[in-house]
Amino acid sequence: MLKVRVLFVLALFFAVKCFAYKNHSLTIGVGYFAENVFNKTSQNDDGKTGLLGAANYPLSAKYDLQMSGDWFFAPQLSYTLFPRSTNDSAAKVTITNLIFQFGKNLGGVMSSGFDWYFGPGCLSHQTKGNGGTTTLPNGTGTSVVNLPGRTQTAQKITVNFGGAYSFGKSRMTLDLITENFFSNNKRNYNLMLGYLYEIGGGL
Amino acid sequence: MKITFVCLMILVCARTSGAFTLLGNSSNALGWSDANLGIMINTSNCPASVDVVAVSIAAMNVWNYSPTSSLKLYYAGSTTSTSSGFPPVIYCETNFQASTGGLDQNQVLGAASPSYSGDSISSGVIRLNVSVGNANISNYSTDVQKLILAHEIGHLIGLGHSQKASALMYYSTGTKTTPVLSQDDIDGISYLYPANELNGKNMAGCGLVGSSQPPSSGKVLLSLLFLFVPLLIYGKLRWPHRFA
Repeated sequence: MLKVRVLFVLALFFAVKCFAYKNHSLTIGVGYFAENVFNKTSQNDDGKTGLLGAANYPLSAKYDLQMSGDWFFAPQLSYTLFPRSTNDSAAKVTITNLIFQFGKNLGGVMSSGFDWYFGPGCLSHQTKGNGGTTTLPNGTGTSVVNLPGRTQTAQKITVNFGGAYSFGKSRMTLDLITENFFSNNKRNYNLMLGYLYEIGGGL
Repeated sequence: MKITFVCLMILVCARTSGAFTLLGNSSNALGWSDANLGIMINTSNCPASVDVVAVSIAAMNVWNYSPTSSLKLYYAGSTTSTSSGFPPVIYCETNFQASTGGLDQNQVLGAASPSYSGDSISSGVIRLNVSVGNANISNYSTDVQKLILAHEIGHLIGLGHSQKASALMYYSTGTKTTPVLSQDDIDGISYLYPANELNGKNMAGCGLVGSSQPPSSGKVLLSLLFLFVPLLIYGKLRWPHRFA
């Protein structure tokens, strides 16, 4: 009986006829962007690493352009309107991510809402410091040290792979964003889970 | 659905993290003027049980692997110098407490001293504790030695202590056993030495695969082009008339 119910729900789920990419479709949404994932950074007091890295919450906008058949070109811009900040707001890190997606609708009856994509991108990390000083332990005493006061930006070329599922006007995405793609030592990965909503277009 | 979307938008919020700090004279302090920095090593007073060169290179690589930084540290050869200079020097100090202005030789394993000229670092030195005190580096495992050296190199390149206990630049090693950068360390090094691949240097990490000379931008763009070959082949097979 349970199997029948599951199949019924799945049939309803996939019966909604939709296509992931739609020509001239404009979507906007929010995301969860995890930096330096897959145990790259120390996250505990004992130096142990964690699967997911620092969390950022970007807003995203994407526009679809049909290239040929099921293939689409879809640039997507993500931006952390509320930057990741330090405990004392000494510095704020804003992430801007532009991805040039080359994607394909999978089509078919059961998978009409799915698509996958890949493409190059540009990832910008802007650190804005507010300046000032703070006193911290140093050796067996304390020292006055400076808090960052400049605005510095690191810009990286990225290689991106992702997949998405669309239902109605909604779209759930998962992106693997790779920095230093050609370096076996510095290569690192970021993950972005996104929810987008179609607000216009979609021929 | 629109309500769900609005709720998700409202849920977007800032997240706190640690705070890296800077050495130097002001909040405008920077690092070394050249992000390619060679470090010389003087092993003359170092204990035979400690391979200072190997440990130092491993500690440099901890910082070299920072993904959003352009910093490239390398071993610049041996030296007999024990003074602050350019290139900076790592050496073993038997008279650690006196040479560091009174740091406790029973508790402090090493000390870095970068010297600033304006906002940039112009010279520096790292002293390793090989005194009769309890904190002699030979009393610790190789992993802890790497941890200490990576921390001191962090100072040498301009970072102060971090407020985050998970950071390599936290003032105490605590229970850490291996040198791993935290996001706070990466933020700090990326602030001091930000990578800028849009200017064509080391694009997408090229030139960092054990090569001293990065390949040209043309080679990198050609490599990126190969990403689209599967797309072209697929399109040609499926819609041959469109590619005719």
